[in-house]
Order: sequence, then structure tokens, then C-alpha cells
Amino acid sequence: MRAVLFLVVGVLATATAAFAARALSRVGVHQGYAPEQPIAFSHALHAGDSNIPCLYCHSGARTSRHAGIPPLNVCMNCHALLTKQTIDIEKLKEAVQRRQPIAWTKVHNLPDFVYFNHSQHVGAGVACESCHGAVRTMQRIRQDAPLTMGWCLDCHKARPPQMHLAGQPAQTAGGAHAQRPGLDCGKCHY
Amino acid sequence: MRVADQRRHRLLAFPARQSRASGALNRITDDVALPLDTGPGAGWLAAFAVAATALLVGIGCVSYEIATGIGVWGLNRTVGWAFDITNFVFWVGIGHAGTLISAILLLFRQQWRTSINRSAEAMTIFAVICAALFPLIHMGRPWLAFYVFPYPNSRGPLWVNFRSPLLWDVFAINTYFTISLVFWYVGMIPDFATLRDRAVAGMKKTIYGIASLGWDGSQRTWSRYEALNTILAGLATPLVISVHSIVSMDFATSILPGWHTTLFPPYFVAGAVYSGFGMVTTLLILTRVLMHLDRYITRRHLDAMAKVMLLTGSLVGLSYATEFYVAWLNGSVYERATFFTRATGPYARLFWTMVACNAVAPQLLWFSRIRRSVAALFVFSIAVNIGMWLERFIIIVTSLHRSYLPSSWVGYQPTAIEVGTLVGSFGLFFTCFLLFIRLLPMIAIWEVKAGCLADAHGASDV
Amino acid sequence: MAVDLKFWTSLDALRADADRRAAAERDCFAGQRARTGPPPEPSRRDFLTLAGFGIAAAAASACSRGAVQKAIPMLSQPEELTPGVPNWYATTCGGCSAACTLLAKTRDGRPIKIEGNADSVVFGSGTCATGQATVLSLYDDARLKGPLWRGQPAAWADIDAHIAERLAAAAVAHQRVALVSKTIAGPATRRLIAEWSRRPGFEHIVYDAVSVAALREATRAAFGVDALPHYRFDAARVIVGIESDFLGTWLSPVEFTREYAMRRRPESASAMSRHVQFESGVSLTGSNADRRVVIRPSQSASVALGLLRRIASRRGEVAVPDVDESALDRQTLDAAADDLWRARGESLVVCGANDVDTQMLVHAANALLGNIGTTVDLDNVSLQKRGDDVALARLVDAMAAGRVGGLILYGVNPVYDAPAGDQFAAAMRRVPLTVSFADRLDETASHAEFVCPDHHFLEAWGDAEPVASCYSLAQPTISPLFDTRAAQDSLLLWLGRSPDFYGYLRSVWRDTLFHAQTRYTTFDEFWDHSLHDGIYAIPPRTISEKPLVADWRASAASVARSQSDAAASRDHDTYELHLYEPVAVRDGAHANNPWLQELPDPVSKVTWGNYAAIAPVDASRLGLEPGDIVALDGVGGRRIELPVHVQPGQAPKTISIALGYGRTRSGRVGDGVGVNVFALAQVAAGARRYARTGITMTRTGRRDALATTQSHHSMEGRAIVKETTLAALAEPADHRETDLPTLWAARPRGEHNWGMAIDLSACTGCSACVTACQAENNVAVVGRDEVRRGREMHWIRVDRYYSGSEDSPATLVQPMMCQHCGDAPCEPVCPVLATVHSSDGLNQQVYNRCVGTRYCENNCPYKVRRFNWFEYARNDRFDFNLNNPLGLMVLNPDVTVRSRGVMEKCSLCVQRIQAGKLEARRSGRAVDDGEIQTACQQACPADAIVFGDLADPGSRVSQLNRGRRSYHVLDELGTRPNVTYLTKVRNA
Repeated sequence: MRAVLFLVVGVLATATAAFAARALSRVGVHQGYAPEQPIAFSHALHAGDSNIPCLYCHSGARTSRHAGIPPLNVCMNCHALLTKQTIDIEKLKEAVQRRQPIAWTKVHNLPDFVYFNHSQHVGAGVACESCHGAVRTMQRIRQDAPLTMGWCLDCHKARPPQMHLAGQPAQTAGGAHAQRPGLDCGKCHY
Repeated sequence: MRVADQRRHRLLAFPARQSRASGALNRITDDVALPLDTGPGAGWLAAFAVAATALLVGIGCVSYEIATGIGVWGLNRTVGWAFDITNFVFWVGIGHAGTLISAILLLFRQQWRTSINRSAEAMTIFAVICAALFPLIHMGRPWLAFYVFPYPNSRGPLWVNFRSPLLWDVFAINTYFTISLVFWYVGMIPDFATLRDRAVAGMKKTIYGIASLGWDGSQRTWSRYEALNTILAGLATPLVISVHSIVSMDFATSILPGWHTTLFPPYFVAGAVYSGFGMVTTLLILTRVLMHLDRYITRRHLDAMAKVMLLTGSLVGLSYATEFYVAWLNGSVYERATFFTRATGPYARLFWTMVACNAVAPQLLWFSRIRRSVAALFVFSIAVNIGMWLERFIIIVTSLHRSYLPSSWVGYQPTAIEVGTLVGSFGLFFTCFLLFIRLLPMIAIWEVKAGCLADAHGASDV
Repeated sequence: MAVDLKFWTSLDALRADADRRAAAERDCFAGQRARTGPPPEPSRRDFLTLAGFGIAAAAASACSRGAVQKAIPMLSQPEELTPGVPNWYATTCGGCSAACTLLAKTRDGRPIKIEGNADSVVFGSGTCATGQATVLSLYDDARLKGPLWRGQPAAWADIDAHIAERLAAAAVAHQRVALVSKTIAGPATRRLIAEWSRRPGFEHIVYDAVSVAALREATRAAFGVDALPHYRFDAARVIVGIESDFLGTWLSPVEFTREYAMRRRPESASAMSRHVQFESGVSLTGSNADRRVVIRPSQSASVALGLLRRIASRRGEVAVPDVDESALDRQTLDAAADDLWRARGESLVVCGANDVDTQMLVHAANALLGNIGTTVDLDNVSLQKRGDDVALARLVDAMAAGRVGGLILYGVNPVYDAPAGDQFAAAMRRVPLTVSFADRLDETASHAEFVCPDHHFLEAWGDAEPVASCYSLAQPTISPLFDTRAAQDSLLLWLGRSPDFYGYLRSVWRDTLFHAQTRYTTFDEFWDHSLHDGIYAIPPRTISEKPLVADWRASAASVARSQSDAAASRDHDTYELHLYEPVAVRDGAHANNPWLQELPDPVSKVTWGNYAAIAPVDASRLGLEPGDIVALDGVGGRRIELPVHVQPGQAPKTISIALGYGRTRSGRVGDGVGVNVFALAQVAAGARRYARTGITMTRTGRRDALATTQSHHSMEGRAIVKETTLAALAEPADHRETDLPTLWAARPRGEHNWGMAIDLSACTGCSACVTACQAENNVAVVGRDEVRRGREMHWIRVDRYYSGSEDSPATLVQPMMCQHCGDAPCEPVCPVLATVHSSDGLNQQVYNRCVGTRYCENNCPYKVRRFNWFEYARNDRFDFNLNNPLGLMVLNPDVTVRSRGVMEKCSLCVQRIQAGKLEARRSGRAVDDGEIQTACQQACPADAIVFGDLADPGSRVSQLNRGRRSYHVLDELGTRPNVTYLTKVRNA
């Protein structure tokens, strides 16, 4: 009788503790965050169906720490010619006419104290998908990875061969001086 | 343990005698339980008011500091620690006497300890609580204090630095607190039982009933109890040495002249016991007067405590001398400068006060007249408390404020907030202690009984 | 150019929260990061978190999801601009009249850092502290947001109409219109003003807050050259300075420091130069001299005469008027003269006294020594200061007499910094039209009817010709923050021309420089190259020896006379006053710049305000402690009160006080800091002398502790700054430290091992590195009280020690920052691994891991760690640049702004290291030596700091590290620093 009581209490306590630990470990992790955007831009359509390369729009990823959100003139490169009209394309064109940039909602937010440089990773041949997931299939863009430090280190601990690299850049820029990605704190925190 | 068993055999084996003894025994119970049954006296109320006020002041200061930043203290780019860690070391030191008295003296079967060990242990608990507060609030970002615990995390995972003495501290203090708490509680179980049996039905009875964990005073219970008690004592004893040795390593492992010395562990332990006994003496004399327990806290106890302080005080004095000797001996200009500054620099007055309190004053205890004079001992014990607080302050601040590069030499002035925090820690300590003497048996009833039974029996054998 | 920047944005609002705050102010910064906005819908996990785990976790997770962040792309992105990638624009400094050539680093359209322009043959890659700080003045929220008329905001159009009308009226009434300007560095602007001068009754008066008019006067008289000589310290083997702080503030400090330092290294090809300084207050220059001789300000003339007499006699010239030298140290004079004579043709005498006769003697001395044409260049003259004291004095009279119809003030603030400022203010009221181009409502502008705020130089077009034949351009690095207008545009407009100074500038360059060159065929080509390089130098005229046309004996005679009069009338209980321009805030124009206010004076190490520097003997005689407030009388019934600073090496019976403080209308930061002593300058025959006699000093009994960053001045016999003499260095002695045994296991060697070498022989202590570091690394300003408490945050400091006697000590300086120890004492003691060693030799501080136990700080033997005692950003307790949206824009987005409660320290500019490595890797090569520069190194005008890879034996830093002068501070502790110091060498 008493033994059973102890058992029940013990199990309950353990369960609560475990749950609490799990809950706490997810504080500040926004995996799956997919806010609504001012224009319902579909990566599935652009990157997926029409197969536009990521770096065509996010050209900053090659040269800057920021991948960058394409300026409207980049959108208009195509949409000036395309005849198809939807409400969202209307919004786009209106914005261009009113010379009023669009305030997108940022999806992948790193804390202030983390320095992340897109060009560094693209240059080393890390594929966009390895962090951003299957963007080609996303109707609305979503944070695919947890973006926790542990998640970053999963790759940084691995040596280049084991890393998921995109074909092209690896040979060129990254290839020659590709080395083990750093584990020093000061590689990202300064 | 064997000795104790024999006692109880006598107690059970000779009912005839019991009647004679029982009167005395009941008297003990009544005396000890008196404060628990009656309402608080004026003296207690006054003392409690003072303590609680101090505590409130402390709470105010700490809240302000945490809300605003460590900058509200007087620290600067050169002196990174001062009152905060001084108070920490001071309170940890205070704690030691409790463990020493209850554990070691138990192992050595020192009968005289029985009437004081309970309150000494209580003091330990409260002192460690006060101590543990300071490492927490001295952090620049206390809300991240959990970083110092090694726990699985999503940072890689990222562990703590096991090379850091501050981490050793975390473990040392936690262990110390846990053991002391258990030891203290276990010690009280039989008395809870006694109180439970005395209490008429009602709230009190239930509470004491739960607290006494179904104690039935049977032979079996007693023998297991003795076993547990001794084991805990055995566990607690090394802590007296280890905890303060580790605390001392917060300094000894640094490269700072005045901190970086192998002498620190024994020096700190001696100092801790010295200051601890100082505080116990203060408290006992107070309770002796406030609670009219002079039949239990006798001059004999005070005398014994004084002797311990004479020993440890002399050890501390010796350590001071050694420090200076080594500084002179090793020929490092930095060491020499530090100790020269310590004795002559801006904090010289504090330094010499400290020497007077910790090294010179105890030598008076060679005279038994002083050892047995309650008033003298009380004054002395206060001096010990002050002196030992100053010791930590001197070690920390004088070593820091002028170290290697003269370009960074500065002074340090405490702010009102720091002083308030110190006052607050005393407030916390005395509030707890005053509550303790009202709510719990502040003298180990069963042990005293056992003790005086032994005496009674010894007398009757003649 | 960032001129047509519209709707750009940076996505890294994460770092520079500046933008977010600034959103409201300018649409081109709009909404980096909307503060508000609908909170994102809680995910299932959040729901469970909240539901499953009580208040604590609920609160935690609730605050964990930050505000929704907006990312706003550009409408159409300029080709040369990629968010997150810095652009560099060559420009010219407007910080002082020296007009150094600069590069401005702009990040996402915001200038955030100033560097020297390495292409410049005159100034080199270095800068000064003031130059470094100018980028912060751009974001000064005390700047006027638009034009004012009678103190009220007005439209440009109305103002222009009014002014045109008044100017016309003045012309009709044949009244004078005076333009009082600072020294105009730019030929184009000078040409524009020349066009104004064609208007009848127009007069242009150049006014320097700190005047060197006498030098120019003397040069005209002596050599018939109406300009300042261009001094060449790199050509000088012996330098004698008299009351001239040429390394700190005099004429062109960056240039002079560079040339001076070239010859202070024993390794330097040309022999090490020898420097004797005669001065009263301890200046930065004096503290570097091989021999510093204490004189009273009034004696500078007799020192000049003494030198001249000795040199003349060596030349066999006779009949040089004699002067009583009993008060002087004859031996030193003889020795100095000997040195000069031995090095004739390669020696140089400079004097800072603003007194024509004295300067004549100095010119004569240089002439007799044959220095004209070698160290004193009169062909490529310096145009850096063209002020005319007498003209200003005349103008004030005319104004007061109501004979001036219009007054235009351009970059001047005479009400504050003219000796008779209050008279000037009074006189202004008699002038019907008063216009000021001041960027803020300063002491003078507040008396002006019209205030037409000029651009900050980083927003404006311009050019400069600091030294004849060396031209430089200034271009906008950001579109104007406020509704301001370039002064030149205003002048063009009021002249009835189109307000297009850019076009005007181009036309001037086309007409003059373009036609004078043959390299480029089209002007656009020429212009683009010049603009890109920032500088354009026409081949300098060959330096010739100009004959000394004036009769210096007359000056000598008058000097002798005045000296003997002075000696006769000298009252021995009064003090002499010596006013000097401080290194940080200079003439006070930068008083509202918190970086400069908090920059410790290179010698006294005092921040935030001026003080009366007195000699130790005087202090002990009067029983004065540092910080005691004294009252100084004897200046026309004017009494000023200042705290005392006891300055070893200060001339007895003299009081040195810094100018440039006591601003009343500079802005929140600068107002009421220190006391304005410009009024104490002595006006003799129109010329301002920054010294006077007959001052009485009385103690008030009150105290005001100085905010000093160093309170102990002796090395206590510890070998911290090592010093040797040239002779000692010559003899072979192996002082290399043997590597101490260590208990730590050797670390695995990384790809690099970054280290630094600092040459104490080259370092003058000018402290440019301190401000450069502050700008690069977002170091917070903490203010006077916190500095008093010893809590300044500078990552690099310049330690200053005195050795020898109190009355004439030798001064030693040592830049001190994190030494990046191989076995760092801070690392093992941190319980949370917040400070760790990197694979490439850096000791790294991880702010976001730090819990703030401060043990690392306690255990650091160099005491270079800085703790964030408070939240310094966005905190009203610290109302400096980090507490207003504008000031936040100067932040470097690549460096975290540290929060309250964490430790910070020098990172060896790890962000620059990372950038450099990335750049190298991207182009598939290894990092070149010298490719990566730390902020302090890049700013150093003396090139005293060298950063590089110790793992590469060929790197410059490795070579210096192996050199026989190298040593590590506190090496005996076995900390194995990666920062090496090179022993200071003096020639005894």
C-alpha cells in the first residue's frame, strides 16, 4: 500500500521534472516560426516550380553577411514583363509606383550577440537548404532549423567532407582553403 | 555509540532509579519547552524587531542593486570584489563552529557540547544561507546564475569550467548546506517526539507528529538513530575542513600577491572555527540571558569555548606572521609591496584593528578569570566577530587595490548600499535565529537528559 | 557617393539598434525594426510550455520571443551598395585647421569610422584622437535641425529672401559686410570668398580660435613669405622646441608626429633625432623630449634670444644684444646650441609663443643654422592657419561704432573664444544683419539673427590645400541628416549664383588643377581619380634657401629690452599664467563630443574638464591637494575658480590651464564642463598671447575631485616600461627572456597566432588609439562621476609614469590593452567558460556567457578588463551618445553592444581579423602580413603599433618580437603575452 503510494508520487515527480526540463530547453527556440507576410510570396512557386536560383534574389549571400531581401527592382526584372496579375502582384506594383518599400516580417532572427555571415558559409559551399530547409516546397517561408547554438555546432564539429555541401561553390572558393569550421567562441560571439 | 547504549540500558534496566531521575528529566523538558509554550517576552520582541528591520533594509538594498547594477557598490576596474565576497567568506566561516561542535565533539564524545550543539547547528544553517546569498547577488547578471550548474543544454552542449575555484565553491557550499540541514533535523527528531507527547491534541500535536516521523522511542529506533547520527557526524566532519579550504582557494589559486599562497587552506579553516566560536559565544551568552537558561549554558561551556578560541585565535595570529615572513622570504617585489601596503597603506588602521582582535586579544584567554567572566567573554566574542570580518576585507581589498601595475592602483570606498547589504545579512541571520529559539527546542533535550542521567548514575554508584 | 541614397536599409538592426530608434526621424532609415506589431501566434509548443509549466516558464518563454522584426529592402539598390558591406570614401578632415586626408568607412549608408588616407605623403595613414571623434559629432543631437530666424525655425526660402534684402540694403548704404571665417582650407571656397570680395565694402577676416598670427607675421617680415613655414621634422636631426606642442596640437600634429616618430627609432636609417624642449607646462611634446627644460612662459623670448646669440657667435656674428640669463639654465642653452650647431642644416627650432619678436629670433636662428630650405620649407608653405588677430580687433571696433552693415560668421565662435568675447557679443547687437553658419546654436550663433546651419564635413563637398601643392577633396559620405545647407551653397546663393557648390568645386578644379596636369585627358577621368584617391599632389616646388631679409637684431634688441623690463618689474609672489590647447577637445569646438571629453589628457590623465596645473613645490608651499579649488585673480578684475592638479615638471610659479572648456551653448555633454579661460589670453598690439604675468592664487577651501584615470605615477621600481639609452643599446647584451616552465599542457597550434608589438620609442602617448578603439568597438562613455570612481571603459589605455625628480621628471608612456596571454590568468578562474583561448592565440571574452563574477578582472595582472557596472546604452543615467537615437547610429554593427553586468576587454579587433580571413579565403589565398590592422594600429600616427601573425616567422610582428628591444610586461609571471613591447630608447 505504502510502496504503491511512494511509486506513484515518484513517477509523477519524475514526469513533471522531465517535462519542465523539456519546456525550459525550448525557451527562445522558434523552430517552425512562419509569420504572415505583407505579400503572400510563395517560395514554392518561385524557387520550386520556376526554379529560380536562391542567389538570384538573395544575391547578398555571396558577398555580405546578410543574404538580403531582394529590392523591388529585382522583382520587377521579371514582373515588368509577366502579364499574369494577382492581388499580390498588384500590391507589388503599387509599392513600386508609390516608391514605398515593403516591410517584410523577418523570419530567421539570431540574437544580437551572434555574428553570422552568409557569404562565409556560401563561400565554404554550405547549401542554403542545409540551414533553411526545403524552401522550394514552402508556400509561406518558415524557420526550418532550431537555430540553437548546439544546432550550429553540429556542423561546426564535423569536417568539411561530412558536411552537406552544394556542388559548385565547394570546388571554387571553399575548396582550396576549406578547413575545419571553427569551434572558437570568438568565431561568432564578439 | 557503545557508551550511549549502556546509558540507555541503565535507564531502562533500573526503573527504581528512574523515579528519582525522572523529576529532573521532566524539569529539563519543561525548561526547554517553556519558550515554545509561552508567548514571546519583551526582550525577544525587541530583539526580533531590530533584526527584522535590518533584514528589510537588506532586502531593499539588494533589490536596488539587482534592479540598477553592481555599480551601486563602490567597486571599480581594479577592485572587483569587496564587501560582497568579504561577507560571503565571513558567513561561511561562522557556519563552521556549528558543525564542529555538533559533529566533531560528538565523535569525541564531549558531553559539554550537548546543551549548545543544537543552537550551534541552527546557527550553521542560517549562516550558510546568508553566505550563499552573496555569490548570487555579487554576479553582474544574477538571473543567469544557473549557468554555473552543469546541466544538459542546447548550446552544443556547453559545460561549466571545472578548473574554476568559484565552481568548486558552488559544490562545496551546496554539499555543506545539505549535510548540515539533514544533520540538524535528524538531531531534533527525538525532541519533536517528546514535544508531541507533551502537547495536548491540536495543531501543535499534528505538526510535531509529522516532524517526528513517527518516532516511537523503541530500542530499535534508538539504535538506528544513533547509527544514523554518527554516520552524519562522520560525513559532516570532513566538511569543516573541506568547505573552508575550498573557499580559501577562491583566493589561493589566483596569481594576485596577497592571495596567491599555499598557507590559505589551514589558515582559513582556523580562522573559520575561530570566528564561528566567536559567534556561538555571542549567541549563547545572549540566549543565556534572554531565555534564562544559565543552568544549561554554564560557565563550564563558555570556558571550553574560550579554550577553543584561544587555540584557533593563536593559529590565526601565527598565520598572519607567516604570511609576512613568506612575503619577505620569497623576495618578490610585488608580494613585499602588497604586505607593506597592507600594514602601512590606506587600510592600515583596519589592518591593525584586525591584528588586535584576532591575534592579540585571544592571548587574554590564558587567564581563567577572563574565560569564566561572562561579560568579558561577550565583549571578546564581539571583538572576534569584528576582527574576522575585517580579516577577510583586508585580504580581499588590500590585495586588489594595489597589485602589479601601479597605473591601475586605486582606492576603494564602500557605498551605503554595500553597508546596508551587510546589515541585511545580519538581519536575516538573527531573524532566523530568533524564530528558531521560539519555534524549536533550542537545546537537545534528549542529549542533555542522557548526559545528566549518566552523571546521576555516576553519582549514585559512589 | 551616398548622395542619392533613398529607401536603403540594413538588415542588421539586430546589431545597430540605432536604426530602429532613428526610424521616426528619416524615412531613409525607416522602420528597421518596428517596436510594436502583432505578436506571433503561439506555437503548439509554446502552448504546452505555458500550460504545462507554471508561471516561471510562462514568463521565460513569453519574453523569449522578441518583438516582431521587420526587414525592409531597398526600392532599387545602388550598384556599389550591398547591405552589410562597408564602403570607403576618401575625404578631408574638418576636425581642425590641419585638414588631414581621411577615409570614412560607411556601413549601410552611415559613416561609422574614420581612418587616415595612407596615400597621403603629408599625413600618412594615421589620425589624431580629435579626427577619430569627428564621426561622432556628425551624430550630435545638439546640431541644428534646420535654419533659424530670430531663434525660431524658418524656411530657407524666407531666410534667403531676408538676407538678400539686407545685403542689398547694406550695399546701398555703403556699409561694410564682413565675413569672419575660420581658416579656409579649400581653394574652391577661397575662390568663392574672393568673388565676394569684389563686392564693394566686403571684407573677409580669418579668425583662428587659437592664434599663430605672430608666426605668420614674422615669416612675412623675415622672408617676405605671407604664410606659415612648412616644418619638416623628419629632416631634423636636432629639434629644439620652445613652448610649442607640435606633437599634440600645434599646426599639424598628425603630420609632425609621423615625421617625428620616424626618427625616434634606433633602427631608423637616418640617425635618431635629438629633442630638447623648453616649456613651462608639461605638454605631450615636452613629455617626449630627450631633455625637457623648465622655463616660465615669459622666458621663452630670452630662450630664443639665448640660442640665437650662441649660434650667432659660432657663426662669428657679433653685437647680439645680451640679456640677463641668470634665471635660465645656461648649461642647457649651451648644450642645445651646440647640438643645433653641430647639426646645422639638419636641425630645427620651433616656438609656439604668439609673439612676433620671438618668432623673428627663431627664424633668425633657423636661418643662421642653414635650416631654411631643409627643415623649414618656405616654398611649399603651410596654409593651415591664416588667422589675423589685428583685423578682428579692428572689426569689433567698427561693429561697435555701427560702421558694419552685415556680419557673416563661418565656423567661428568668437563670443566664446575671443579674449573680448563679451565685447564681440555687444558689438553684434549694433550690426543690422548677423548671419551664422554654426552647426549648433552656440555662444555666438545665439546672438545672430539668422542661423543657417552648415553641413558636417562628412555630409559636404569640399577641398583643401593644407600644404601648398598638396590638394585633397572632401565628399559627402551620407545624405544630410538634417535640413542643413553647405555654407558655400549659401554664399553662392546670396551672391546671386545657383547654390551648387559641387558644380562650383568641379569648375574650380577644372580651371586650375586639371589644366595644370597632363596625365588625364578628360576632366571627368581626372575628377573621378582624384575623388577616389581623395588627394591630388602636384609636384612640389624645389625647396630653396630663402634669404633672411629682415634685421633680426632689432627684434633681438626689443626682446632684450622687454625682458629686462619684465625682470625689473617681476613680482615674486605672483604667478605666471600659461594657457594651452588640450589634445582632446582642442579649441573647444568639439566640447560636446563625449569621446573627447572622456579621453584622458595624455600627460595629466585627467578627463572631463580643465584644471590649474601647478608645480609640486607650489602645492606643498600652499598646502594644496589635487582637487582643491583655487581662485585666480589679476586679470582685469576677472576671477576664475578651478580645481588644482599637481603636475610634476610644471614650472614653479606658473599655472597652466587648458583652453577649450567651459562651453555654455555646445550641447548637453559639453556645457558646464570646466571653465572658459580664453578671456585670460593677453591681447598685446592686437595679437593674442596665451600667457600673462601677475596672477594671484588663493585657496577657496572647497574641493572638486578631478576625474583622473591614473592616480599613481611611479613605477615603484618595477620593470614595466623598460628604457635604455642609445649607447647602452649599442653594446651587446643578451636580455632575451628565457621561456619559463609552465604546468599547462601546450595548446595545439592553430592556423594563426595573432600578436602585437608596440614600440615604446615611437609611441608619443597622443592617445589617438584610445578614441579609435572606442569608435571601432562601441566602447561606452561613462561620464565624469564614473571616471572618478575608476570605471572608465576604454579597452586600450595609455599608462603614464614619471621617473626622477618631481620638479623635472622623465615621462614614460605605455599603451596597455589585453595582452592576450598564452597562459591567461583570467581563463581558469571563470566558472562559466566566458573567457577562453582561441585556436589562433586570442583570449576571447564571450559576453553572452558572462555572468559577471569579476574574478577574471581581479586575476588580471594588467588590469585591462572592463566591467559593465550599469546598462550604459539607452540609460538616462548615462546621457551620452548611446542614449539618443542619433548617437546610436555611430555604432559598429559588427560588434555587440555589451549589456549590464558583463565583462569586456580588448579583442584585438577580432571582427577585423574575421573579416580579413574571410576576404583572403574568398579570393583563395592566405592572409597577407599587414592586411589585417587593428583600430589602434591603423589610427597610430607614429606607426608604433604592429599587429600580425606570430605563427608566420616572416611577418613584421614576428621580426619585432625577435628583435633585441622586445620584452613582455610582467614576463616573470609566466603569462606568456602575445603582446610584445619594444624598449624605449632615449639618446642620453
